[in-house]
Order: sequence, then structure tokens, then C-alpha cells
Amino acid sequence: MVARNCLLGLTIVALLGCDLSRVAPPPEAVFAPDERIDDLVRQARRPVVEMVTERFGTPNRLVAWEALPVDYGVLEGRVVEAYPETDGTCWRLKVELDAVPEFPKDWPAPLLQGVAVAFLSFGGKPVSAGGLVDEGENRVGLTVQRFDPGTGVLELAQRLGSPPSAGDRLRLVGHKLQRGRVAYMRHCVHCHGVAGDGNGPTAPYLNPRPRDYRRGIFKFTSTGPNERPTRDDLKRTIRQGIPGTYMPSFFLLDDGDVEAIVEYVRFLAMRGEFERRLVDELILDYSTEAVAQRVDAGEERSDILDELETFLRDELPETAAFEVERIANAWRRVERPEALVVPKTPRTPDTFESRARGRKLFLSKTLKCVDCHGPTGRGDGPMTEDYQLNTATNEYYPFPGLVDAWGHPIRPRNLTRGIYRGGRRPLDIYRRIYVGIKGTPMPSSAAALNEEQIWDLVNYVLSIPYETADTRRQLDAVAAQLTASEK
Amino acid sequence: MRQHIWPICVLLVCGMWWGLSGCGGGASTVPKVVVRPAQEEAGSPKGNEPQAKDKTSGTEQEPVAGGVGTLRGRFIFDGEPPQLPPLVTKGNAPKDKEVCAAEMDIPDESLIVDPQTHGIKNVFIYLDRAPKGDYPKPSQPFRFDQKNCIFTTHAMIVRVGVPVLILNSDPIAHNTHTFPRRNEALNQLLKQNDQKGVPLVYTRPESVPVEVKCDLHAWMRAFQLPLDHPFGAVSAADGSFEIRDLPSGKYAFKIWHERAVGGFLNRRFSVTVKPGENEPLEIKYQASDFGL
Repeated sequence: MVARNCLLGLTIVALLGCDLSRVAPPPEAVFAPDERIDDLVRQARRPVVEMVTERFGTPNRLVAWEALPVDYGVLEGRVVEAYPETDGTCWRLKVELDAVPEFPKDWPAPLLQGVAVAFLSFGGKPVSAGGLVDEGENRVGLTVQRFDPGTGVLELAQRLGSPPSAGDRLRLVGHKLQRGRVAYMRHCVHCHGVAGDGNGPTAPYLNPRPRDYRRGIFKFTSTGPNERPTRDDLKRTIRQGIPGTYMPSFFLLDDGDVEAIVEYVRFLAMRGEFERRLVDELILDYSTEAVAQRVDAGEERSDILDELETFLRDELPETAAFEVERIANAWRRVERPEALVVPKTPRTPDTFESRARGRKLFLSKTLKCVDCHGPTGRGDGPMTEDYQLNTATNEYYPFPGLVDAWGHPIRPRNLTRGIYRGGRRPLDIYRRIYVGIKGTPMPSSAAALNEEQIWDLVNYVLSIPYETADTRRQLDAVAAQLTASEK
Repeated sequence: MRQHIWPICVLLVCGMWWGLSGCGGGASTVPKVVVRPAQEEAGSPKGNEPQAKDKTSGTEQEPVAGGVGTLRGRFIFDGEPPQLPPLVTKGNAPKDKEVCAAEMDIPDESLIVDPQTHGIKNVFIYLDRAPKGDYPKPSQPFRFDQKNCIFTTHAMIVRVGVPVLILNSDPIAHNTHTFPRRNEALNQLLKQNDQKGVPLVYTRPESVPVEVKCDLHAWMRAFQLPLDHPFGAVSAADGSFEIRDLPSGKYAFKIWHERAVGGFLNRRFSVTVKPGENEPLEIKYQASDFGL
């Protein structure tokens, strides 16, 4: 009996001990900086990280930067009544919101907690500068502590110096961003990483690698050759997954979660592009290597660092402003209907003749599809055995075959499998041919082909999985007849 | 005894729940959101490329009013001129034999030194950012052709906003794939004998030449440097270059070559330009500058 009690006691102590180890909280998520930041001289690293953090925040304190076309989730409303404290400060208000978003049942925090509060008018007077309240010298970023949709009582996490008046307009910003961040950290982070750098804990074990969003390049889009993806493109990829890769279909995910993840992925992509551009501006002249070379060439190290300081102070902020405008425009413009690549003619009927013409194009010197995809479409063309030059280092890659924009080896699609990563609709294949696949050697053929030719190719490509040596011979015979009759 | 165990069990269960609720890392943390207004950027230039202040290259001081100068010079290889073997000898192309290297060798254009004059071809000398001012743009598009599986202009300076017309004079397809830093990349298939061409427009200047490749023929390479001003040149076969109409003043040029160790032959080549003709420059480089 004593022994049993001792055992029980020891078990309890051990389990409580495990519990107490929880006192150390789990490590906080961080946005890993661009790998190339390490190549910069020390004096240039911190300013870049600071500029990015100031504009995009950290995973636990996100910045909703209004210069970017991201739908952070905005709720408009007005103050019904304020409940000031005896010392005149105020943190409890009764508000009337135009709409209250629906949150998932397992939402891990009180409704709207942490969402930014911006007053558009305060004390009856309009507020400038994005609706932040000036508290003397300190500009306070106000956030919600608690909101009760039943009574409309909103508690702020900070105190206002004076109460707002009834009728003051306010905006609550960021509920969608929060939701995207929480859902992303649950479903996507394992592969795509906290910063969307395609470097999550699972990533090293995957081939193909998960997408690194930070170049703003997404492979399968409905937009033109140099354009960003639309929200619908990203939604389709999340909903349907990418067949033939580790990207699964999240078809069962709530609509609200998918939309929020799309916004959060766009946010991460813009953040990455911004960071990348800043590093680009510095790396040519202020990498550790470049500075060493410049010192070798006779420049004084102190002069170079002075010049860097001037550049960081006077030029980089201007460049940053310019870059963000470009990034924002690139993402904004694809949401217009005219940005979509839409065939001008309907699909050519999938006849034997059409496939024969398509096969002829596939094998032709006009397109050279076979150089990568191989004469039978197995993805074994001669380019898969050729060594490619690495443009960044000016050296050949140590492995043969094609390479994508991220420096990873890439195989041309094996068209006999009937698995199409960008989707299997004829329209999807049309777009792959018309637009190309961004970030890969697959070029846009828009200038080389007309509409009918693209559709013929689509018809042929979709027939390749069912092809036999016999059908190939028949198609070639039909193609020869067609050519003869044209002459 | 038994009545003592129950409270402990309850405590244990509560403790376990508390302990486990700490799992899940980032997913269970709801982030705080802060708003940053759009107009918080200092001096947003509204769509204009940031102007030169002073970086490693560009105007070192305000141009002196009155007079423009012409800068001439030559890049000279100091030592025995290297003669690189051809990339592909005639008739031995690994693919597309009937077109590529069918009539001539495909030369290695990565370093071309004239054996007589020792002049170095295809060296870029340019101002990273121009002195303030508006400079008229060429009215004609630039032409960029490919023949015998060679880009016919291996190194060229182009202007921002002026199209570069990509042509194909070969009876086979090529794809033209650019790898810019600031501009958007282009990857366009060109059908055989395409003389209508595909326009490539750079919307922004670059600080180093952009590499152009053809993914179908791995040896094909070219370099294009888009600038938003006319103050740059690519050296000719005898290594000579000329930059006209420079407002007089002190400048720091960048000198770039594809084989140069670290990219640049000179990151900051200082020259004072007087009005009118200037003393021709003789700029010498050795084999080690090219990693030979």
C-alpha cells in the first residue's frame, strides 16, 4: 500500500514537473529574413530588417499597411456611447458596427481581440493620418481587447486620454488578416514557412519544393506572362491542390478560411518582394564581398561605410516608397477583368484532324516542345540532359537538366501521365501554352502561335496519355494529307 | 486514503489540460494588428524613378553650367591576349545540327580581345544614375536578333521605355529568357524566321547588365543594360568607346564585364569631364581581372 502510494506520488510529481516545464512558452514565430541579408555588411543588415519589420510587422504583431492592395478585413462603425473612467480616460465604448464577421467556432481568442481600432472622427472632429488618435507626442496603435456582439460593448486594450463623442466614426481593421494568419499557421506553415519562404520544417524532404512566395512568382495563373496571380488563382490552387505534387486539396476548408489564407499569402508575397528589392539595391555595392573588393581596389573602408550611411538615410526610403508602389500596382492590376488571359475563340472541336495538326506543331521546329517534353511527351527531351549555366554565379550547375527561378532542378512535365499541375481543363492547358509557366523555362508561346494552333495543341496534349504507336502513325498520316491538300 | 487521491487526480487533469493547451505554437496565437497609413512614406516620388543623389556611381557634384564634353577611351588587355576556343565547333552542335554551328563555329564571346590592338570588346562603361535632366529617347526600337544559334548582339545598352525588338533569323524556334533584377522577366518563344519580332520593353533602369538566355540552346547568352539616360557605352572590337554630350563635371563610372571577377572591373571609375574634347583614356586590365 505504501509502495503504491509512493508510486502514485512520484507519478504525480513527474507529470506536474512536465506541466511546469510549460512555463517556458513555445518559441515565438518569426519571419526569417531573406537569406542574402547575411551577405550584406553588418551596417546594412539591420536597416533592411528594420524597414521591413516597420512596414509589415512580426507574425504576432502584423502591420496592416494601407499602401498595399490587401483586404485586411475592415469593419466600419460608430460610437453609441462612451464610458469614461473617473480620471477622464476611457477604454470602454458602446459601438454599432455595420457588420460583424463570422468567426470559426474554435477561434482561439475572444472575438476581434487584437484587431486595430482607428477613429475616423474623434470628439466630432475628423482625424487625419489614417485614423490614428494622437495622444500628445505618442501615436498610439489602438487595439480591441474584447467585443461583445450582443451588447455592442467594445473594450480597448489601451486607454484613450479622453472619451470619444457619440457618433464618432471608427474602423476596426485586421480581422481577416488575423484569421488568415491563424489558418496559415495551422495548414500551410509546415511546408511554406512562417515568412512564405517555402522553407518550412517539411520542405527539405519535398520534391518539388513548396513555393517560395517572396519573388511574387506563382506558376499557375490565369494572368499574362509577367503578371501576379489573381485572388481566384490562389483560391483555386488551395481548393484543388496541385496534382502531382505535395500540395494537397483543401477542399473541406471553410470558405472564410480559404479567403483569409489567400489574403495572407498575398500579404507575405508582397512583404517578400519588398524585402527582396531592398536587398537587391544594397547587395551589389555593400555585400561583404563587394566591400572587400572595393577596399582592394584602393577605396577607404570608412569612406564606403559613410557612403552606405548616406545611401541608407537619403536614398533607400525613397526607393522603398517607389518599390511599394510598383508592387502594389502589380497586384492591383491583375484583379481587373482585362488582366485575364481568355481565349478569343472557343475550343476547336477535338477531332482527329485537330489532334494531327497539334501533333505536327508539337514535333515542329516552330515550337520545339520535344526539346524538353520529348518526342513521345514523356518529359525526357534532350534539355533534361544538358548542363545549365547558373546566372547568379556564372558557373554551370553541378547537375544536368533544367533549373527554375529558385535554383532548384526541375523536370519538364511527363505528358503521358495525364496529371497536369496547373489544372486539367482545356482552358488550363491553353493558358500554360499561351502564358508559359512563370519561374520555369516553359516560355510563353503567345507570339509564335495563333488561337487555332493553340487549341490544336491543347487537343493533342490532352490526347497524349491515350496515345499508342498506332495512333501516332495515323495522326502523322492525317497531318501529311492535310499538308498535301493545303499545297 | 482514497479521499486524498481524488483532489490530486483533479489537479492532475487540470494540470495536463493546462500543459497541453500550450502546444500548437503559432496557430493558437492570435496576432495583434496595427494600421500603417498609406501616406506614411516620406517623399513618395509618385511613379518616378529615384534620382541620383550619390551612390557608388553617378554624378559626384552638380554639373558645371555651360558646355558638354565627349569622353573617349579604350579598354586594353595588358598581357598576352587570350584566344578562347569556340563553344561549339562547326558541325558539332549537340542539337539542331542543321542550323546551329552549321556554317561556322559558335565563338566563346565571354572575352574577346583583339590580337593586334589588345582592345577588349563588350566592356560596359556607364553611369548608374544620370545627372538630373531629361534626355531624348531614340525614336527607333533596338534590334536583337539570333542567327546560327548566336545572339547577334552579345552586349548592348538599351533605353528604358524604348522597345527592344527580339527577332529570330534561324529556321528553328528559340526562346528568349531575361533575368533582370528590377524589371519583370521575359520568357518568350520565337518561332522560326520571325522578322516581325516580339517587343521587350524595360520599364526601369538596371544597375548591372541583364542576362539574356535561350533555354533551348544552353550556350546562348547575351547582356542588355537598360538605362534611363544616354551616358553609357559598350566597347567596340578594338576596345574603344565614346560617350557624347556629358555635362561637364566629375563623374564616377561603373565598368562591367561578364568575365570580371565579382562582376565589375571598376565600381567607381572617377573622371572629370571638361567641355569639348577630353584627353582619351587608356584603361588597362590584366588576365587576373578576368579570372584567367
